[in-house]
Amino acid sequence: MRRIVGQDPLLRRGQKLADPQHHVAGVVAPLPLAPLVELIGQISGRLPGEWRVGGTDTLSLLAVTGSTGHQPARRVAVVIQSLWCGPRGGTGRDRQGRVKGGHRTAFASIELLSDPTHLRMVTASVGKGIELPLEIARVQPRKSRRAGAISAPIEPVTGKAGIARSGARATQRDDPAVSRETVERGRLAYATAPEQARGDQIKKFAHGNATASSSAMFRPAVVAPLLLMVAACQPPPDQRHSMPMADAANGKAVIARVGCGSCHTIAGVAWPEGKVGPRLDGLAGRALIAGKLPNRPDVLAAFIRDAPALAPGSGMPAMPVTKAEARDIAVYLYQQETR
Amino acid sequence: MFEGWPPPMLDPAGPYAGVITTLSWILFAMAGAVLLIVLAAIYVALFAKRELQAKLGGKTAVLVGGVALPAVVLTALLIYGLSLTRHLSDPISGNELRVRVTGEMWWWRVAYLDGQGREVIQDANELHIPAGRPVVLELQSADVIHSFWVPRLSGKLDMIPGRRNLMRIQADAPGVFGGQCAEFCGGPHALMGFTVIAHEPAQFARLMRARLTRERTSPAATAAGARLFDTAGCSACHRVAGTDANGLAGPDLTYVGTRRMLGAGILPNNRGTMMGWIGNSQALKPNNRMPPYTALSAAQLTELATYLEAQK
Repeated sequence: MRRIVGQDPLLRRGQKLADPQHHVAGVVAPLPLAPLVELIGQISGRLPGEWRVGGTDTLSLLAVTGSTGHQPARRVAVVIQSLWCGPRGGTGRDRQGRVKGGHRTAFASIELLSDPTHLRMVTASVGKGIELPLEIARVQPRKSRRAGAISAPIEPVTGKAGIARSGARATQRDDPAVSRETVERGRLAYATAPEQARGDQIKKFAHGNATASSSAMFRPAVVAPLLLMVAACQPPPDQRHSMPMADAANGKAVIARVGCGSCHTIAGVAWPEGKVGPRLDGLAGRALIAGKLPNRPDVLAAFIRDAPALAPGSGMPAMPVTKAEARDIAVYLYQQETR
Repeated sequence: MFEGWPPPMLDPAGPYAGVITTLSWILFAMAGAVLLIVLAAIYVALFAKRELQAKLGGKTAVLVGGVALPAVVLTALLIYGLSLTRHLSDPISGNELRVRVTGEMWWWRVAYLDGQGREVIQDANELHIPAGRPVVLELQSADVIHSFWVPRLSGKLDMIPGRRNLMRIQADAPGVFGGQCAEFCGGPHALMGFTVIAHEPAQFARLMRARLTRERTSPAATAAGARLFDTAGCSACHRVAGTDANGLAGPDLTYVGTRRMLGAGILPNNRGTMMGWIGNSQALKPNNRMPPYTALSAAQLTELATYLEAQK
């Protein structure tokens, strides 16, 4: 039995995707000839207790290799159980509701049989395959909150696909929680478009074979899946860009005063509708600011004030607004739905 | 929103606007009185007793109420109004500051004149005046009929091609006063604004002296923008005094860095709006005569804006 990590250069590369700041991690299990891989994951079960984030969970993953070229279809199922997650150690931490953001790590491994072309997936508890991040959403004191795992693209990595970048949004800040919360069941499910139609088939397969993975059910010449999984908690939309001290109405007035509309078409601003910069509606749903910065309220406010410092090379100039006004503008923009 | 915009119409800031506002209120009051009289007459005609109708009606009522009264009232009003506003068209005494304002589609060409009527300072879309002193504006048009209107300083006066209309404005105290073209002149007519800035007389004198003795400097930071201003074609339409840029089709940009507004009184002047205007002014003021410069990169837009900001 070998651990995936450390055996293969590709795997190491995958591991580097782990981003401790945003709790993004990847799992990579490259099998040299796998033309298509699908990964379907589900966090089943529930984080116990409403007083904390953490506890055990179950993650089911299904990796499926498809086939192109000379290889027949091969499918590999992985079931990971007893996923450890949440903070560990300490007494009374749960009841106090002090929840610290942390990686939740799922374990999986791919076992190489004596024949190097034989692979099998083993359940649980051995090896380290997946870091399933669960971010602790930003929480206001004494407010209930929810957090759930979301799935970002679990890219099937084929010859050309490479390592998928995390799509986790940095807006989900991992502030330490200060109040209790209920963690809802999350779901990870992803299939590449060409493979979508096979979803049912895959699911059936998963149920049938999930527990049989320790047997030598896999035939030679199978290439292992290359998995990259990224997940993060996404709070509900109304809590996503919380800026409690900002004043959206004043933000709109400032937008008019400094003429943001000269370059941007802004929802709720009838004129001007500039076309030099991007439209600024539906900003709350966007992942990146200026194509490179995480779409977080503080980052957006800072970007409005001094874009050249944060994103050199973009056309956005520094704008003559105060810090408070920049926050007001940011909260106004976050409130505008897509038109 | 912007300082001085939209301009309040019944809030005079100088003597010339003051008499017009007074006259406006008198007219409102008289119109109200006439309305009440007419309503009363209708009431009598419809609902009053026969005896009262017979008493008030008849040929006499028509002659008195329909001919004599309007003739007397309107004549009195005309005489009063003309006497009230007689100073608006006082001839030039020679002591006033004279400024030639030319309406263009859709912006304003401004030229400060010396005692002999020669243009000594060129500007656009913004007029600096000393507070407490009358300023004579020579209003003319380069294309179609425009109308010059800065409500807090004076009335409206048309700018007619081939004619030179004189108008006096005066601000009693320093301030910023918005203006607007008041005669439909084509597509972006509504976006043809104007700004008048009244200064303390000493400050105004300093400003004019600074402009007359302006030494052009070309700091290294704006060199790239200056080159681009030439190569991108800006100089074909815009003038920057002291450089090769000598285009006269568009607004003079010699002092564009000091302007409060861009695009003829419609946008605040900062780097962002400058870049937005250069990049695609057609989105902001549709059908204005400046083409969109969508071929410029962000860096080039920034260089141009940096250069223009430095034009003071």
